Amino acid sequence: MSGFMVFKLPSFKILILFMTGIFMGKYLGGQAYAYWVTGFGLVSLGISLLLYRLGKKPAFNILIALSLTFLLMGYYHIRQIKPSNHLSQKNEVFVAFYGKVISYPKLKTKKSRFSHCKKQLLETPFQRQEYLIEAKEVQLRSGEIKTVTGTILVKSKSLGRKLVQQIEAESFERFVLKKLSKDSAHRIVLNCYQKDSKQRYYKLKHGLKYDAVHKLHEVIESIGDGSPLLYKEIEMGDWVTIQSKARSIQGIKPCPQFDYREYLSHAGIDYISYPNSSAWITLAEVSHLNGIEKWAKNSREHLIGLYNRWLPDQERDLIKGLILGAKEGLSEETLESFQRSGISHILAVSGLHVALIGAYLYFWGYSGFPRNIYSSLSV
Amino acid sequence: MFYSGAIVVVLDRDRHYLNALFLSGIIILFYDPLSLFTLGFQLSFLATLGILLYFTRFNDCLLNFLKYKELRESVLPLRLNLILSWLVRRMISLLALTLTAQILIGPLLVYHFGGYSLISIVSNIFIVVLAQGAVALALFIALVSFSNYLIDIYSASLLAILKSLIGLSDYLSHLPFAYINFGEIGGWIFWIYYPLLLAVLHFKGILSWLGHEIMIYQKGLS
Repeated sequence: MSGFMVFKLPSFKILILFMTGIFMGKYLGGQAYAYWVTGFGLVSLGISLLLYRLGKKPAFNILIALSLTFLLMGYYHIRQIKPSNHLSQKNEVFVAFYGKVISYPKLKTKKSRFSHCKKQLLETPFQRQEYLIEAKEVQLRSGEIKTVTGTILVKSKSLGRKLVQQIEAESFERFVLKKLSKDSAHRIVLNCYQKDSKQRYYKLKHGLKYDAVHKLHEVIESIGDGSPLLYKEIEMGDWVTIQSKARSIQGIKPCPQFDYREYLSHAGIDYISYPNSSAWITLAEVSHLNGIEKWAKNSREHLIGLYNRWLPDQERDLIKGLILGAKEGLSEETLESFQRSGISHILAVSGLHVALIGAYLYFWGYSGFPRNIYSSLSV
Repeated sequence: MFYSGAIVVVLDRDRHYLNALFLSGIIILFYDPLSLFTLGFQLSFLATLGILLYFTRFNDCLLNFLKYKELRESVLPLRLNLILSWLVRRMISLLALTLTAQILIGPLLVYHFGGYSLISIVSNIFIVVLAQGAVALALFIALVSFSNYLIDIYSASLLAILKSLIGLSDYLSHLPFAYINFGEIGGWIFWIYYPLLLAVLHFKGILSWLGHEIMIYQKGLS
């Protein structure tokens, strides 16, 4: 089919129609696309009913399915629209964030700096301490005055090579946070990085989902600043509490080439924070991963261990980038030469990897086993 | 895209991959409409569209241009000739693949990154093959990790591939005019580039479509 004939494909027409709707929704302001989808669903429903009345059953069947999908998607997106709240009006707030680390903490500096950083973390004096939250009167968001007391015992212990610090005593804070964790799916997207080579302490950049900020605002108001300061190697699956100043993304100036505000908003992040050394990071619960997550984590660690053992530095970092998409180990020169030669895309985990695994399965089909099984597995 | 393609294959429809692409576009945008404005979606969608639309055409054009057919009639021994033919065919198809992907995503890259890698057309032919080999070998090493002897053999080959990948990329990136900096470019580039591309690639199609429309109009008048 020639390229010009593409315009005649019905799927292309639907796609263009849908894209137009999204553009309209975006530039009409707010979350209009959600209402556009719903509107489109309603129109399709009307047309399908008309077709039913005219006796065109096959067309009716297709359109009714389409309209129901549109309506469901509209409903889904309308539900995603966030209610206005006093937090979103403020540019900067001091809050506690509680959530699960869902992405691998990434370090944007070289490996040597990481190990230096890690060493410092291990030397942290917070090995075993008891913190007492004195009877304290705090005003809740609802206006109610509440007295808060509690004790938190912090103990660190070594599990294998890693230092794991755990809060052992059932504290008031932990009780509240645990309860909160059951009520909603909080999410923290967390990246660890070192700001520059001179600063030795560990820094965190974290983006938070709106609901986590919203619900935990009350917690920090009731607890005040009684949490202990803890450092550990943060891992995927850990539940952490971070207390720091958060800045609303509304304050970020849009840039024509890359709109960071839009990017964060698209990722479901409403606040960003760049805690300084006084930011408080508390490990609430050590990683509780489900079976698949655990398998993925172990496989990743197994692969990294394997390449660490058998390959020299530069090549090892490159293969990690190729296989796992982990670019942080690559030197700036290598990254720049990849960008200049237009091959940066090979560092992204993409369909190529899926295709290779599929190809393995497909070719094993020749070894006597029923090929249909392997073909369907590879698909 | 992958799943839509798989559905098309499994259902054994007429395997119109353009439909699969558009279907996957619709599904992705249904799920998350704002992904339309993400660079990842734009690049992957346009690159795939370019490949599906123009790959065969570019491949044939390049084969004709390089007079590939003459190679088959050469005086070389048959087996060598076959290997050479396969290699040339593979290289040409890789070149056509890169060209067709780049032709649609070029202005996007210029707009977002303020520059364009000219050498990418050449580098993708060699480096993507090397990267594919490296990924396949690295995954294979994970499979044979029970034997140190096997790992030793395969990791030596992997190391050679990775070293040549880094070396080649470094060499190509330092060639003159490898990367052209355009600076900050406005959205006007899309309004000029895409209509122009459409006009150049589909000149005959547009003419015949216009002729057809005019004919219908004239018939209506008479």
